[in-house]
Amino acid sequence: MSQNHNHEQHEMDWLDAHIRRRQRTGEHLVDALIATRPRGDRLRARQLEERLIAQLEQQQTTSERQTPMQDTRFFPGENRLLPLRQPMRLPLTLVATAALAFLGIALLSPFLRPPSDDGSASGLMQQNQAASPTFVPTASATPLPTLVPPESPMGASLMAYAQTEVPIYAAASADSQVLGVLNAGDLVEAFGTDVTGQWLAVLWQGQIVGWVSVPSVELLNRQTFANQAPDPLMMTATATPIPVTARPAFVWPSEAMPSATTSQAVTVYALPDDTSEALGTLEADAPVVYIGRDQTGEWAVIRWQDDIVGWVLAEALIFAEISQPPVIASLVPTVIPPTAPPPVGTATPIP
Amino acid sequence: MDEFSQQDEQALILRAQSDPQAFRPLYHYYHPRIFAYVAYRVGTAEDAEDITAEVFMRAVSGLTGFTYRGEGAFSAWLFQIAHNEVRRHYGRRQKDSAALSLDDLPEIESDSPPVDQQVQRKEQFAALRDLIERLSPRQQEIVTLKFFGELRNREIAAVLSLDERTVAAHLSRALNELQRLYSLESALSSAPHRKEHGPYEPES
Repeated sequence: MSQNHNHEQHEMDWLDAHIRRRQRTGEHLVDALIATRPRGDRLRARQLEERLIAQLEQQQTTSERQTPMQDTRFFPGENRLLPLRQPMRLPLTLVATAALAFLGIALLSPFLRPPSDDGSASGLMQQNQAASPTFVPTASATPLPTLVPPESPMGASLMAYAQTEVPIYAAASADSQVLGVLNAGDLVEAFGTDVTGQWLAVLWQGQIVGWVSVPSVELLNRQTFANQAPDPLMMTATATPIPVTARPAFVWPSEAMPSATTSQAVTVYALPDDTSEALGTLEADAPVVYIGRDQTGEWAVIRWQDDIVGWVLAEALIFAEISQPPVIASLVPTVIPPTAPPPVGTATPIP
Repeated sequence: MDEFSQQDEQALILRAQSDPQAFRPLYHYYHPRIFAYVAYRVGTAEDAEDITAEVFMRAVSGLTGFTYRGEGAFSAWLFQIAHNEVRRHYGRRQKDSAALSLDDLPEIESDSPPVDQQVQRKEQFAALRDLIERLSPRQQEIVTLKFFGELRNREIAAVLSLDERTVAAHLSRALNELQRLYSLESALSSAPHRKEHGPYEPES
């Protein structure tokens, strides 16, 4: 067996050497293949080379202009900087400060400016928000696609709120790769927990799916603020945290019934981009759980065994027909405590 | 161009992530291989030029995110982008089985052969490509990655998400099948009614 393998390897090395050196082997077919190697147009190749160098220089200039704290985030253990979509960072101290600022503006506004056209409080809130640099979205060098969740309420019902720094892991294990860190005040979408209930899958920066430890975050139900003023400050101020004891014990939908299979062997990437890190590969007919697509529809985010979540080309998935809504639909709305106290720093407009 | 040592390639990639000029040798080394692979897959020079350009533009935009994980990692990454681009190309456009004209075909690498030999080689390219197209899609991928992408089996395995032994088995079967088709074509081409595009006979 081992001898056979060595012999095969020797033959492959021999073939590789001949192909790379354009040497004839004496075998007509192989020599014919080696001798009919297409080549590109030299002028176009040179033009492309200059375009590539110019693009690299531009990327470098853009990267140097951005300060790491503003627009990029360093991934520990990875030799790379990724553009950062400004997360909804909402520290409670800021909420309180904003509330005080709001109060001040509300009291002083009759002396400073005419009332807004509609006279509503939202006009005051918008002005207040515009005055705060924290909420001004920072233009990212490359706009990142936003995940479009499937029609099920999964992914749209829950948000995770980090009160301290929370590491995001590539898998549901503290031993897995750290993809990044949620800062205190970050608010991210949550999809569901693993089967142990100890790890929560979250969507971060609109496209990175990772895992955070459940005890490290507060779960917020988006339903509670769905009808509130649509600015993030108001959302957080009125969102109701779900107490630890009432946290939903849901699992991924269709744990035993994957929602899709792969039509061919596919590579799973960390981002919806085939230049990003390859997390692993799936053979054809591999069962996976479909989570959603990016806005282009070209990439799908999936989860498969070992709770690995990543992106594949959507065309490589065959979707199973799901005749009933995922399990999660009936679990999420039941965990909202009706008498939960409002958080500190409520920014409710003064009548 | 000479092959890079593993250390040289790793050093160049790291440098290119901060110094654009360091990308040039990588481009000079990989462009002919990417082009040859893409050209064999798509058939026409124009499509091959466009796809090759797209592959490198995507590679350059993702270069800062690339992490070197050992020998062959960069070529596997680059060819994976190329493989996906070819797949996208076929997704956009139904495979055209109509014969290509000589003008559509790419030039064949050589040391300035006479014009008539260039034409002959283009015909030989078309004939061999026809043979390869009779293989299974998986075998087509493996043969083109091996002979025109110049990848080792380990790298092909990484590009196609397969096991290295599976690649070896596919390649062996593909070469046997190609040999059978090639011999058949040779027999036909030596018959009185010779086909217009006979199989290639290497120069002695």
